[in-house]
This record gives sequence, C-alpha cells and structure tokens, in this order.
Amino acid sequence: MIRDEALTGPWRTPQLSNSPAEETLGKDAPELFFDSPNLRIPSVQVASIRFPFPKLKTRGFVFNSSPVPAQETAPSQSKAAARPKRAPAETVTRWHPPRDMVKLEDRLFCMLQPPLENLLHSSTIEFPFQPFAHQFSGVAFLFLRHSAILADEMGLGKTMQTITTIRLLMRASQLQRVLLVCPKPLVTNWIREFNLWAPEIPTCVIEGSQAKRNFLWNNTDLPVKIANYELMNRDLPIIQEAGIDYDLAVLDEAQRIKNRSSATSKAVCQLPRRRSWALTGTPIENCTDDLVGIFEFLSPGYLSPGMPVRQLRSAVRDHILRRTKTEVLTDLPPLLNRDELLLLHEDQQGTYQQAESEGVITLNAMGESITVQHVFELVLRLKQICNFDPATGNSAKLEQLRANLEEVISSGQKAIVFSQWVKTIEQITGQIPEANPLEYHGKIPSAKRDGILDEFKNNPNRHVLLMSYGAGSVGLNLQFCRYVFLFDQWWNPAVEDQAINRAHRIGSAGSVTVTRMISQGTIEERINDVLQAKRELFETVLSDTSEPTQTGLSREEIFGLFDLRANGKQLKDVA
Amino acid sequence: MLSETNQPEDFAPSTFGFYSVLEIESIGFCGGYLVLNQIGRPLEFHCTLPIKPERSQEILFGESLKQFLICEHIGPPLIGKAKHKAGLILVNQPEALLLEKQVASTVALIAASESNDPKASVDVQTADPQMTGKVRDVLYQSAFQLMEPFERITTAIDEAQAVTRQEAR
Repeated sequence: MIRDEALTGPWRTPQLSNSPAEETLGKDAPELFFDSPNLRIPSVQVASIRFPFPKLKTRGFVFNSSPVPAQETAPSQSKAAARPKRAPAETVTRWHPPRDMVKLEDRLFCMLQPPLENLLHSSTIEFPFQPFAHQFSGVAFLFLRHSAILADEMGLGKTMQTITTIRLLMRASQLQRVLLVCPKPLVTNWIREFNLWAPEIPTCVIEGSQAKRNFLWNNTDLPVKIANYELMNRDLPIIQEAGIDYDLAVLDEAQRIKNRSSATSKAVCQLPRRRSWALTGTPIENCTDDLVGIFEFLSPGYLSPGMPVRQLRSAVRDHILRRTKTEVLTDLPPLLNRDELLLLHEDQQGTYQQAESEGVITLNAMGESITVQHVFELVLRLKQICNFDPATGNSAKLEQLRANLEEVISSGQKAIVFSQWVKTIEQITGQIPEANPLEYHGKIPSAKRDGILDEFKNNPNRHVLLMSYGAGSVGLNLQFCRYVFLFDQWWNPAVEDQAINRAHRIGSAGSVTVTRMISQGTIEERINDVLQAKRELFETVLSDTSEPTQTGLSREEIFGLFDLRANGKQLKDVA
Repeated sequence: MLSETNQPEDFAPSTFGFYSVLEIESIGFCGGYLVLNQIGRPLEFHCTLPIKPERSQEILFGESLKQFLICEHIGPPLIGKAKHKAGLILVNQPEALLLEKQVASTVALIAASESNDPKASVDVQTADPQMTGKVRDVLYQSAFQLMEPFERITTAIDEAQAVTRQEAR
C-alpha cells in the first residue's frame, strides 16, 4: 500500500501486507525506511491534453416548391376525410435526379421526396390497374427529364408510363400542351390508352382536311394533340405559324427518325417544344448512328455520327431507360423460341439453286458498279422462293405451317403469322381455310383495321391472323395469342422482336411459342447469322455490363452472303 | 425534456423530424436531419460534414463515443439549425433516444416491426414511457412509411459527400 507521502518521500516497506492481522500489527511496529537518493521518485510532471472535437460544420437546405407531383387530399370538409391516407405497404420508387441537374440543393430535393407510390397513394389519382414497379420507376425517370428515351422492351407498357407521367406533370402544372407523334396505325391505340389511363385529359387527333387541321393546330385549348408522322412534313409550316410552344413533344416508335436526313426527322426536329421524349423499343436497329438520329430530336448536337461505342454508351446512359421483360417481369409467361429448319421442296430447291447461281454470276459481272442494293434485290428474290416456288406454288414452309396450325386450332388457341410480303400472306390465306384466317397488312384500309382485330379477338372460330411486319409489328396488343409464326424473317431483328411482342407482353394468357421458319442451306440461314450479330450490337450499347464488341455489319459481311468480292457502297444504303 | 404536464393532451404533431448518424468507413460520422410534413414531403434537410474522431478520442471516450457524438456533439446543433420545429423527432439508433434531454421535442426510437399487424409497422420506444402510447397512436396513423425517410437521409448524405469531394478536387 502506498501512502501519500510516498509520492514525495521514501517507500514504505513492502513487508506491510494487506492482511488485517498484520495491518494491526504493523500500526504498532516500528516503521522501516530506506532513504537513498537512488530510490526517490522524481516529482510528477503533468501534461494536460484536451480532446476537443472539431467544430461541427453543417449544410442546410430549406425547400419551398416541389419538383415532383403535388400531393392532394380528398376534397372534403371533414377532419377525418382530410387526414392523409395511411401509407402503402410497399414503397420502392425513388427519385433519381438527372445528371444535368447540377445544383446540390436541387439534387437533394429530388432525392428527399417520398417514393412515387407514396405520392400517388395520398393523391386522388386512380389507375384502372395497379401499375408494375418498373412502370413506376419509368414514370419517375420521365418526370424529371427534358430529354429522354424510354427504350423498354415491347410489352412493358411504354404507352402507360408516358401517359401517367403526362398526367402527373399536368397535375403539377408543369405541362399544358402536349404533342404526341406516332405512326398512323397507332393513333387509335393512343386514344384508347389515354381513355384508360388518363380519362380526365381530353385528346385530339390531328386529321382531316387542311382547313380542319389548320384549325386544330391553332387551337390552344387542346391539352393533348396526337398526330401521325406523315403529317409532320405537310403541316410543319402550319405548326410553326400557329406559334404554339409545346411543353412536351413525344415521338412514339421514334426509330422512325433514325435517319437524320429524312424529311420526317427534319420536320419533327423543328417542332417548337420544351421537353422531348422518344419512345422506342429499338433505339438501335442497324448501327449506332440510329441513336444519333434520335438524339438530334432530343438534344441536337449532343451525339455525333461515328462516335466510339464506349463514349456513346457513357453519353446516353442518363437519358435512356431500357428494361427487358426478363429483368422486370419475372412472372411473365415464358417465351419459347424455336427455329424450324426446313428443307426446300424438290422443285423449290431447283428454282432456288438456279436463281442463286444466276444471280451471283450477274452480280459478279457487274464488277465495280455493284452496290449492296443489287445484293439485297437478289436476297429478296431468293427469300420469296423459299416461301413459295414461283412456278408451282409449292412451299415446304406452308406444309409445316398447316401441320402446326392443326395443333393450334385443336387446342382452341390463336396464332399470328408474320411475313414481309402481302403476296405471301395472300397465298397462305387461300390454303389454310380450316384456320379461318384474317389478314392485316398495308392493303387493308386503316378504317377497317380495328374491326379486324376485334373480330380476331372475339370470334373463337378465327384462329389465325396473317400480318405483314410493316402493318402489324408495332403498338398492337394481341396478348391473347399463344403462338407466333415468322414465315420469313425481317432483315432487322428489332422489327422481328416487335412482331413477337404483340403476343408476348403484359397480360399474356400463357407461354408464347415463337417459331421461325428457316429454309435450310439457303440465304435465310445465312441471314439468321447476320441477325444474331445485330442483336449483339444492340446489347453492347444498351447493356451496362457487356464490353463493346462490334459496331455493325461491315460491307464485307453483306457481300459475304454470296461470297462476293467486288466493292460496293455502304451498308446503310440497304439497312 | 418536456415534462408530462407540458405535453398537450392531443398530441398531433404536424411536422416530423428524422435524425440519424451514419458511420462511414474511413470518412467518419455524418449526421443527417430531415424534417417532413404530415404527408412525408421534405421541408428541410441538414447534414454535417464528416467527423472523424482521433485515436486518442476513441480511447478516452471508449464505448460512450458513439452516444456522445449522436446525442451531444452532432444532434443538438444539427436539429437546432432547423427552421421548422418538429413536433416529434424519430430516430433509428438507440443512442439517440437520450437526445430528448437536449432538444425541446419528443424523441422516439423506431424500428421495423416484425408484427403481423399491418397497422403496427414499427416498434416504438420513447425516453418518457408515458409518451410511448401517444406517439404510437400518431405513428400508426401516418401517411407515409416510417422507416423509409431514414433511407432518404442515407441517400442524401451520400450525395452531399460525393459533391463535397468533387468540390474539394
């Protein structure tokens, strides 16, 4: 035990223990001291150290107006009714500010908003169906962007997401006038979807005589105007003269303006507008310049032709939202793909071989003057032979199709058959009377088309709809069909995917089986390989993970279809 | 701390404060305080720059370091910056419950409930046990998900940190 003195004086002897008996003894016992300078402790030097935390530095943000949809409460005087609704069970959709929103305060204000589901839950907005989670995030994406591409795979509800965002922006007083441009066959589809998802918003279709269109373009009381692409060229002077600045211009199937030099592209790029959105499941159909073309509308000059794929991908990332069905719809019925490789009929085979060898000889004889257009013409001719022999009308594909349709009919199901030629469709129609087919293609007047679709949907005896890719590949909802047959393949895989997704989309009745009919050992099989390469390009630019591999088909590849060595013009002449 | 007699009979706060302190590895502690209105809209947000205790401070404070930072060093000044006085401050860290001694609002600790009752989305604890029932009643009528704003705080602090780092370069 150390006494106080020990700090300044000698040690007490260590023999003094803590034992009580000895302690008592020790009190009376003489104390022993060792007094030597060597044993003395030097005096303590106190070092005082403080532990102050640095002064707290804070950043504060007080918010006034909201960048996201305003919440509403039910119009009621009673206290109970004015009380906010209880929170929804799931909240998932956050607001991610776009990259061009640079001010920290603005970015934080976006991020700190309640999830979209909460806002909608406590508003008076109602939906005919509960939207999917990916649709909520699509709405949140579009809502905050002035230039955006919604590039969801077909069937994920781009139309619904666009309409809902327009609805919310209108309620937030950020939109008053919207112009929506779409292919002509889709105009009625948009009207129907607006009635379903935003029944309170009046829509108006720009159509009719020039005087009528003139009146409609000049009418400032129409919140949503819907026009088709063909009108854009014709009516651009009227639109510009009307002097109406649209708060938003939306292009549906925006791949229509991929070619920057086309009249349609030039016309829509001149539309007076504040926000620009493009909807397309296929922003890249052939090469990355397709995307450059669409961005000429969204944000002129933002991309330039021939941009390296890596740079392009980085530049567009914040402007494009792309989801695939496999990513977001885990409960979507499976899509079963099967390539049906068929041997040509004997007479077809003879015709085909003769046409190919003669065609190649002709092409080679053209020497330096050959273009890919010439090659393309031969391709089309050979593909037609693969469908039907021109002399005998025999078709290995038709025989197989009839066999397949027997199963479809017997199970009471419905099928869509796609071809790129109306003539092929007409040939098929006459030879499958048991399927009671309907035709839907460019020769069918627009006014009759909706009736055909209704008949196909509602008449149980109508088992087959024969469609051309051009007329039937976009915007139609045929999810009650379980079978899709591609009698021939389109040059572009994106168009083919569009066609397939008429049936395989939200609301599909069950698994969808897609059968590609490919004539073995012919140009069709070689083209199939080319299409695979194009799919790879698409994934490269729009995927977050894969590394760029190639930027498109080379001239050599298209000439390689026939092993031609002559020089030709650029591939894009054809594609 | 407000005494029981100071609590209004009808406890119905119109603004809610959400306070949380994030411990970010290699950066330190960052406090965030978010004030929401009755339907979950942000009214204001305050956050601190990171505070990284020195080794000597960690030794000196020992296990009480986190509580000191949350309850004394970060919480009161951060909450004091707010222009909107929150009627109820919700925290998600047990250490923050004692904050009530430092601020003139009721403080409640909430945690996601494992209860099957959909009404009871969170478990509630207050420093003053007599307030627990009143707070619970208020929270169970809430128009927004109660744990969700803490995610907003985390996201906002991350964003503020990223911007601050960019500015520093």
